[in-house]
Amino acid sequence: MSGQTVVVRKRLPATCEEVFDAWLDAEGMRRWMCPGPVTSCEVTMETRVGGRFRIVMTGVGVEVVNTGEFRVLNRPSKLMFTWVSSRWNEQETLVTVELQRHEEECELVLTHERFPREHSTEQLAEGWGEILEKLGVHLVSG
Amino acid sequence: MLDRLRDGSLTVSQLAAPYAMSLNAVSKHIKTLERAGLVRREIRGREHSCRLHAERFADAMKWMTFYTEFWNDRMEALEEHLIEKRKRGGR
Repeated sequence: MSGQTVVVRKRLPATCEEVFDAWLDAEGMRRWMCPGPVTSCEVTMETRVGGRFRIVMTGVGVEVVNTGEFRVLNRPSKLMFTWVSSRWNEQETLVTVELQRHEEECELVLTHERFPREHSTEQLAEGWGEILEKLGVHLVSG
Repeated sequence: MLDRLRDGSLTVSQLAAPYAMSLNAVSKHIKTLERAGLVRREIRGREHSCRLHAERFADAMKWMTFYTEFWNDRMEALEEHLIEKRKRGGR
């Protein structure tokens, strides 16, 4: 399904366990999650599937609040969470972080997807259509 | 494909012309862009013409540029953080 997608790859000098744990360490995250001009960063999170997080970035005259919910927590290979930012009209987006070991390093692939607003119902209906169609094929071939 | 729509609307066959793809494959590709809200299709008789949804396109570009930079910077910072952590932890 296709909305707008951003993919970022990075090889990190750590084990995938270390990288995975960094995403669930609220205290450590304050050091790497906040962009340059941010003067203070607060992170709170409930580290379980269905648990929520909140990252508040405060700069001079601006405050950006990012919140979301953990959807998948598969240590050490995959995290998935929703991402809602006050900077982008509180629209719900989805972030997937995949980790794979490469010798002494961990390769991280981050995929951030944004789904078109007005089309979402239509898209959902279409998605269901596809699922039912495939199911139909299965039923016939089975 | 999106680039060529910047100058105005084109029919599906005009859009498909420079590509070594079947009309069907091109149509599928256009459908994806339509679902992403970046292209609008208008049907006049048997002709389907495509038009860039300029406002939506600009917004999409802005969002993608913002988050490409945001996550690239965050991953750099994460790298530094992990290196620091190892130094402190003596691993």
